Amino acid sequence: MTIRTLITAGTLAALSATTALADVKVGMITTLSGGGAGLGIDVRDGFMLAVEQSGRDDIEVIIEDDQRKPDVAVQLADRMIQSEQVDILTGIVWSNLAMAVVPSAVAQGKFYLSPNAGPSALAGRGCDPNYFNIAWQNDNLHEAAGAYANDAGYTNSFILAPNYPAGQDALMGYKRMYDGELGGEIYTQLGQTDYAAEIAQIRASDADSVFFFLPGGMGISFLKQYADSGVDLPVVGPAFSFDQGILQAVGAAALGVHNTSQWSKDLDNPTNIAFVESFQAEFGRLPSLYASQGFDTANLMISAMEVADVDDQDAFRAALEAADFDSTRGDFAFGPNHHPVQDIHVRKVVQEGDVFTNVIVATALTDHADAYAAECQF
Amino acid sequence: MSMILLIEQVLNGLQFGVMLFVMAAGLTLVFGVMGLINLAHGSLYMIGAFAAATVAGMTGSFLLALAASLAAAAAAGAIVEVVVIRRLYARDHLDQVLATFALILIFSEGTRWLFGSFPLFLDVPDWLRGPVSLPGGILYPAYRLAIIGVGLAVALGLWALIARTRLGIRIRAGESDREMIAALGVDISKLYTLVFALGAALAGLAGALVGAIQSVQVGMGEPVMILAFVVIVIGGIGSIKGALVASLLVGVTDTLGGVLLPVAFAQIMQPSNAMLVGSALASMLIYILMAVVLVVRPSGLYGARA
Amino acid sequence: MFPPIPKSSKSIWGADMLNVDKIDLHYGAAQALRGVSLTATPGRVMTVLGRNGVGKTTLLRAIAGRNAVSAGTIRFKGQDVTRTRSEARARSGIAMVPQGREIFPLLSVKENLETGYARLPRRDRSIPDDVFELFPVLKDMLGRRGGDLSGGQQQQLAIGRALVMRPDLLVLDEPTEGIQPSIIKDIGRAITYLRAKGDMAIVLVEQYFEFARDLADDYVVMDRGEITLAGAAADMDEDEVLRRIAV
Repeated sequence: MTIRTLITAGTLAALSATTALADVKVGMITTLSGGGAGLGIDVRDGFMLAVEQSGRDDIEVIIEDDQRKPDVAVQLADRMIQSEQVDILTGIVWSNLAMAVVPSAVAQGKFYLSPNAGPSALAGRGCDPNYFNIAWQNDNLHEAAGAYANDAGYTNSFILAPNYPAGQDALMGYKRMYDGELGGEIYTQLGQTDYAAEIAQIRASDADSVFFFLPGGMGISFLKQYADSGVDLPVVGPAFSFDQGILQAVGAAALGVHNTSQWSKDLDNPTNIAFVESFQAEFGRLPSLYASQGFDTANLMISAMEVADVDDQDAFRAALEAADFDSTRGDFAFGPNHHPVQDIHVRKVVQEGDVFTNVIVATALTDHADAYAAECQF
Repeated sequence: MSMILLIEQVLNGLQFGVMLFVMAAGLTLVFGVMGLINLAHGSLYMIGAFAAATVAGMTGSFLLALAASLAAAAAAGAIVEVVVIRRLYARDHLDQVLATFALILIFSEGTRWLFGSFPLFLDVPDWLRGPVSLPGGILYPAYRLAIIGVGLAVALGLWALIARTRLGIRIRAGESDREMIAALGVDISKLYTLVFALGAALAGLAGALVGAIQSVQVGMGEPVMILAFVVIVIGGIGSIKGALVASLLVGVTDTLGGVLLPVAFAQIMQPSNAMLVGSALASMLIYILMAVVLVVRPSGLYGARA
Repeated sequence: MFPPIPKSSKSIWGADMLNVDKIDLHYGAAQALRGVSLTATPGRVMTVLGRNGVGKTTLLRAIAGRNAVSAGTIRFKGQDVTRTRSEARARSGIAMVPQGREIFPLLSVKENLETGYARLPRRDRSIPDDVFELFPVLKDMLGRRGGDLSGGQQQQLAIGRALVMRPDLLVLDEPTEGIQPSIIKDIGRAITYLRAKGDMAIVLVEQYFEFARDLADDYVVMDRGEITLAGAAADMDEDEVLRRIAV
């Protein structure tokens, strides 16, 4: 059975609502249409690849498209919890959607395994024993970028991010680790596509480096315009603007940029090598950060299924906490708030043949946990 | 803030403005002549960008890519007009909004089906790459200067078309009295298809030009669509001249507001708060501008008196 | 060899340029025309008389194709045009001077006249000299916007625009309405001139009885959507007509 048929079967199962003989029923809510669909598709494909490779036939996955809209995500979650009676929810890419869905899902006794979004509200006081984040807390990659800036000897960074909670967290995260001065600090508009004004300000400043967090199309626009502006200060950012899905659209403009990530396709461990190879064979493209996170999420779930019944919540939760699975990142462990404690690497954008991709050049933070863990009380 | 930076920002505002104009011109033309609210105008912008990225990828020629964007968007516009839009002229605006919103979804998912979910690559051509030096020591990207040039050329061309040609006479006549223009023997449905395709071609051109410095992806047309509506409301619905003045106004206001407001607020409050408040207010600035214009001139700067 | 094509259009499609045969027209449930028949012939003026709201304008709109008839036929130059759209009728040679004139206020006078070019082949696209001979004021105001003209000047412009089309049938809807006497005289002179040229059929809807009577070759009187009286102007019983159209 190929993954495509699995996905189709999952969707059909959701449509026909026939009860298959599955021991674990997973509801995946992710973004499959609209502007951010590339991320959701990668999460889904990574997740389903792991399910297929496990060879288990006791996992039923219901996949639905949230269209990147919180209200749609909430409706889907309600349906999955109430009519489909799923055991586990997963898949959400965006923090605002996660904030709309997760608190109510865990309050109804479901497990939520986050393959991407890690808002601080769910890591600190709002943490929940049934909520696990397999990717990162939102601040982590920005913190690593700040740490890298210190290592690279930058003392005057110009930093920018969109004016919304994750953007503010990003600048906060960078500043948490970064020791130097700020040559400038700008909040752009969410969804902004033209950065000429910001680039002019960077040009006019006396900064020695640029840090930016501009996910999705915003990052593509910024990088292309920056490369064309003649400003040649070194650029640092989190992996989101340099990931496999969008690097081809940025092209040579991204070459040489350093970015921080907990995963890279050249991480040298057997799980990752096998993952990259099988993902490419199955889907005909290189996996992204998001695909690796989807893959790890499924493998974490499967590892828990090996030792515990999902209906025995305490046992299953303990099995998840143990995180006894082979992660594409190598070592993987959960902190006390069910968020990862992991290494975060520095990657550099390179060109391999026709393909733009990343290679690891350094490790910015080792066994790094998030800043909110202490506030979490189960 | 230095003078050089200010001049550079004004240029940025102009560049943003002329692209908004190329986008809004078609929208206001279609509204003026056919009385149609076309939410799917942004989809034609997207089609232009995708066509350009595809052709640039195959041929490596940016000029061919621009030609492809014009042709693809015009063709898509003509087809949509004949198949769908034509049935909407006599309907009320709510029906038009619903139907053209459906078109957005169809175009978006159709584009995803054809090109996939990942952004496409389209780059500035080599001969326009990098900055040029302007008098006064200003470094400005050559491509953006070229965009300003193309935008002004489009404005001039549209003016000549509307003011100096027989098609222009028909377009203006059709705006004020479509029944009479038909009674004079003008094939009104052909005229409408032509006007719609013209507006679509301009949107496609804007998509391709902007796509080279932004990201070519599904859904790229919707944000700029909202701005285009702001422009035609400020300029006066149906007025090309109004669209030009309003686009430049919106472009410069938005750009300078985003730069100057945080600086201004920093005089009276803490820098980090000034940053947040300033950029939040800057993002509202063009809507405030629209509100003010509507209070002073309810039908827009150059709108016909209702 | 073919015989030379006769100059007068009459012999090609018989005597009638326009032949309206028992048409009905409904606006929703309301019937506006009931079995109306009428003919127009080159070189003659057919005048339609009647009170306000009896269907005169509706009849003209039916002839021009602006409103669809629900029964009956309309033939133009021998062709059945009952279902033909307005622009196609215009292109085959029906020109209309509508009530309220409907000139384009934002276009210049010259551009207004040029909107009449649509049916003409490229080589014929010019403004005929007689337009300016009939209405010299238009020549003086070519660059002015249509909306800046007085009501009478606009009426002259609307007639001029129709003449630019070189029509075979000219349809005028109350050209004297709200117009000062000196211009009414100009318009009357223009209609007389066009009739005398002999190649154009004219249908004139009027409420201004004396004006209509002086120009008419044939007439019909309408009441409540029907024709109640018809005949040649020469045989008109003026008192009877006046009684029927009096308010």
